[in-house]
Amino acid sequence: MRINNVEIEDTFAEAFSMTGARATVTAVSDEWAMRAALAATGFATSVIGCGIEAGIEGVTPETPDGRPGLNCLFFGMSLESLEKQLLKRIGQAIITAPTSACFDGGAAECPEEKRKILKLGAKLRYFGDGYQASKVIDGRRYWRIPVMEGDFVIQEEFTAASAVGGGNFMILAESAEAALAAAEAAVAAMRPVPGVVLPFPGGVVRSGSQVGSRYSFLIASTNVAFCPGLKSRVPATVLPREVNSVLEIVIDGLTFDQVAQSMRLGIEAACVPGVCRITAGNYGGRLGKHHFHLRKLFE
Amino acid sequence: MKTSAHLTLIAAPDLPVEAESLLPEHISGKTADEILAMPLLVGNRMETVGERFTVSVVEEGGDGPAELTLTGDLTRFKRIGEGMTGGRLVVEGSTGFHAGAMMSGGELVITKNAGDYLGAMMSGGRIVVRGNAGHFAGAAYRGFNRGMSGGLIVIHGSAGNLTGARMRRGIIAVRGACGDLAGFGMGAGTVIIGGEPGVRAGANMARGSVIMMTRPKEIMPTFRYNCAGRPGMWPLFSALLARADCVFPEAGPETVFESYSGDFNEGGRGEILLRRSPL
Repeated sequence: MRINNVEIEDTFAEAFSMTGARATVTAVSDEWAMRAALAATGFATSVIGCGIEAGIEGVTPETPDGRPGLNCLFFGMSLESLEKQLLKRIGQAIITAPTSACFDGGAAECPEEKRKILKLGAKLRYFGDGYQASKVIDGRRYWRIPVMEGDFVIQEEFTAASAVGGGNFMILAESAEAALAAAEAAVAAMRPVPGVVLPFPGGVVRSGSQVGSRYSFLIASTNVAFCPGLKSRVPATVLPREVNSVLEIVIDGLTFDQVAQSMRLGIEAACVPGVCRITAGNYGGRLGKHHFHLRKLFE
Repeated sequence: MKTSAHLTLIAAPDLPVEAESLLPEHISGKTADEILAMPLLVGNRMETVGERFTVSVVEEGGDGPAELTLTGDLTRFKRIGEGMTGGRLVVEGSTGFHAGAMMSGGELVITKNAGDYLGAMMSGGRIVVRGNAGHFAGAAYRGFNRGMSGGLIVIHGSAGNLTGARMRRGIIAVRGACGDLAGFGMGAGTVIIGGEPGVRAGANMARGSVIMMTRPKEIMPTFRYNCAGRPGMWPLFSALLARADCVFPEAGPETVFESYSGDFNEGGRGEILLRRSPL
């Protein structure tokens, strides 16, 4: 199968079950909402090293308090690890941002039976040292935590849901410039898809990893099979002679369909001159239960 | 099947009427004849709805809560919507005392005025009064220490004394003026007053908020000034009220309020928020 003369390899991306949550961050202006959201979703590229994967889903036109706001998506390996990370990130990055407030963004796209409750506001309220107070509006409880600038408002409960993490595809290109241009085009096409974030810098990964290492103290190491500079030294290389650079796009989403849609749009956009092949990372189907067959995405 | 019924008052009664039977959930699935046969206590005599009203019933397709519309001067009708749990009840006119008292769900709309004890001790649902309300809106009945514990009351006109007295949760928004002792003895919840407030707002409150758009003649000496700022909750209240068609145009999301804590006779954990007028 070829798109714009770029070969789509007959393989699949292997993704994992994760737990996701959407938080709406609001502030007095777009700028301050963005600063809070950037801080909260920073250093959240991979659960392996960061404990969580996160990103900004996009600007939301309607927020609970009517102020400018952004939706952020957070993905953890379990409900407990997600809650632990969110408490830290809201506590250190959102409460601290001037004029900010934080609300449950919901997970309407996920089936109700797959949703769970995270009591984030209920736990963060203790920062108020006994001076916190709550209000119930439309059946939802909000906590007001007094802070030096005024007060911080956070919803008591947030929705968590079963999610899909680690959807991916790789762009094999003739040059680093071609790979980056293709990746940028892919990210631009994928960003508008709701329920999806690309947790790596700019949505792009230059240093994909393989499971394990020759060093016993490392659980993951550079993906040698995809390193162009190791083609002659690594028998397991999968790169043909004409490939000189590889970039990967990793996708986390609240549902399988959202990740699939995002991958389809991204692969289509990435098939530009200079790109030789699109492939995907998997572990033979043994580790992750969500398989995205690249060619089936276009059926 | 969704039932919609429209009762039109034939003539305003001379005697007070106990109208707690006129609820949307009571007319659901009933025919016109069955509705007309429902009991109605007029003075000390048990009558039927049919002796006081004409009725038209429409059965609509699909599921949905029942809707009941009452038309006429119902100022002598007490307890309209009392204990309501769901559906929609529209009064095209004014009501007497206890409208929507102890309701737990649904929506009660009164297009003119409501009497005393509007929404007294209600726990949920929504009441909208297009005109004025009497005393004790959302308050506790005498002998009880817990008033309104949930839901929303919107009064587009003015309200009487002791609005929200002893309330424990919920929101009361009065677009116009309000009588004395608004939020008296509150344990939680919010009273919002657009027009001129009476004296001693928030007296004896232990918790909760009284939010005023118009400066009162005085703030009680048992309240202490904190600061001027933009409370994070105000945009949430503002958005909620806007959805209920109640707008305070003088107070946008970025309005500055003066914050007072009190009543310090009760621990000082309640608050008065007073809109700071532009200079």
